[in-house]
Amino acid sequence: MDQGMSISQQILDSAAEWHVRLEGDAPDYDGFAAWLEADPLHRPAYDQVIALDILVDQHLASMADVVTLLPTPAPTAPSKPIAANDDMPMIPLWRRAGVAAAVAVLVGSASLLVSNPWSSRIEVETGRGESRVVQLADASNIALDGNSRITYADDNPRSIELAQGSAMFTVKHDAAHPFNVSAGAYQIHDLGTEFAVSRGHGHLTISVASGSVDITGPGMARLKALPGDRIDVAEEGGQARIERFKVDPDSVASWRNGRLIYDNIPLRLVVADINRYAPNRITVVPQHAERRFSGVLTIGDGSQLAPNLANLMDLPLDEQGRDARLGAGNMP
Amino acid sequence: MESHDQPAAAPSAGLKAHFDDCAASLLRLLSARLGNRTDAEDLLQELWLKLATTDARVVENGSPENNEINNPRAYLHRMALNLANDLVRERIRRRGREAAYSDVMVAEEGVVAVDPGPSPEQALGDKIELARVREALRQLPARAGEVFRRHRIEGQSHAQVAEAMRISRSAVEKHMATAMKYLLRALNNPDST
Repeated sequence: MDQGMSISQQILDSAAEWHVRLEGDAPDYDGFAAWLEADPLHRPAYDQVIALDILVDQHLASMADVVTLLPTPAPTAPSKPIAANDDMPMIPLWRRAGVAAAVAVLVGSASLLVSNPWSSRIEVETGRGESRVVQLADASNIALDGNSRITYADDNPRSIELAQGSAMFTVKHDAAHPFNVSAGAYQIHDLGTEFAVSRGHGHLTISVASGSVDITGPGMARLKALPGDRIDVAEEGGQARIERFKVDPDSVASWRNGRLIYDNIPLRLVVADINRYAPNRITVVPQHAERRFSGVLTIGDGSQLAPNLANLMDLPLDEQGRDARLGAGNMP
Repeated sequence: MESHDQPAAAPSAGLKAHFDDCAASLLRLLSARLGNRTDAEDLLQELWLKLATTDARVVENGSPENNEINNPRAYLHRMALNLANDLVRERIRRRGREAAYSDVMVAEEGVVAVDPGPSPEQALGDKIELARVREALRQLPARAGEVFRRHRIEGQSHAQVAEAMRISRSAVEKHMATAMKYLLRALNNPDST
């Protein structure tokens, strides 16, 4: 970030201290205002805290990668000589992700083996353009978008697998029976809330409308998502890329109203969404993948999503048979 | 900015009364945070409107999740600071992009504003910043690293971190401040690594 002037370490340190203090028990907002007023460099210094925030949100996985490697000392045995581990060499993310993925697979199949052999799995599926609401016995419900599939054991409807597509979960909180959604190797643990999960093409999105959820998966620390958080997980060459975006909680699962609502979301993620509806396979060329889109797309029968997006972004759309590339070819 | 003439439910007497009581202090906080009075006044107006919907939710659900509402003054200041920080966040993002983009902004039909994507230079800048911050994380004292991970990445509250690590709340704050200092220095000082 170039602010045209350099900020002394001392000022940055006090910005850091104020930031932490404001998150504490008795935040002194008047004191903070006075600190900001005391020196014209204090405000840009505090802006750096926000810039750091943005950076951390954009790279949660790779941050977690670096700091989770230190083994957490067992709090009950503080006398154990574990300090030597502090200098432990770093293990690359892909190796840890690989191990975690292997463990997840083992656990997954093991739980299938030990689950009640007399229970049967219920499968609910929707076709393209179809939607359904599944009412569960505990008053929780699941709204299923088109082209989606969930399965669950009939004796455990609070453990849902999203096999494909998109679903909005409105969950009645029950501390004794946590509600879990699994999507591939990732688990979403609900803490009494409304949230949407979408899955497809190596890509997972979790958006929270109210309450909160915990997300766990290979290569990532447990991640808490709060209302207005949109967490995107993309598998890229054996690594998970995890990002957090801010969305309007009211726009979560807007597909229930036949619309897709975006505010400042990269095109690659918009394209991942519209692929759930489009009759053909849409990709965006790399040089435009990070461009941000804000706006509302009407789903309809799915065929106009890509042309409309191309039009709104002023990008060409190259349609060849079952493939359409956004940003490729010539403008019509 | 559009005029806020939609019929917003008036905030309930309680919070509204507190809002009036600390309006001056809120305006001071916003002005100091944003560096100008006009933006501060806009956000104060936005806060008042937000209050209307928050209050509706409070009425509906009993109370919001955090207990800060029990301290309305702190609650209002927290809301104000969050609004200001969101605005700064948006500006930093936009500035970062505009600094490196030669593309123009595209706006359509009022509802759609499209930002150009990052140029290769910007992408490289992001990579360098990330590398610096990662390096700083690596160099963090172990406990500061753990506090940062639990609080900032996993989303635990200060209280939860304190309990999990069997340390005091003030120790959590101290470690968190240490982590923030390391990272801020790394982000600002190109020669730090």
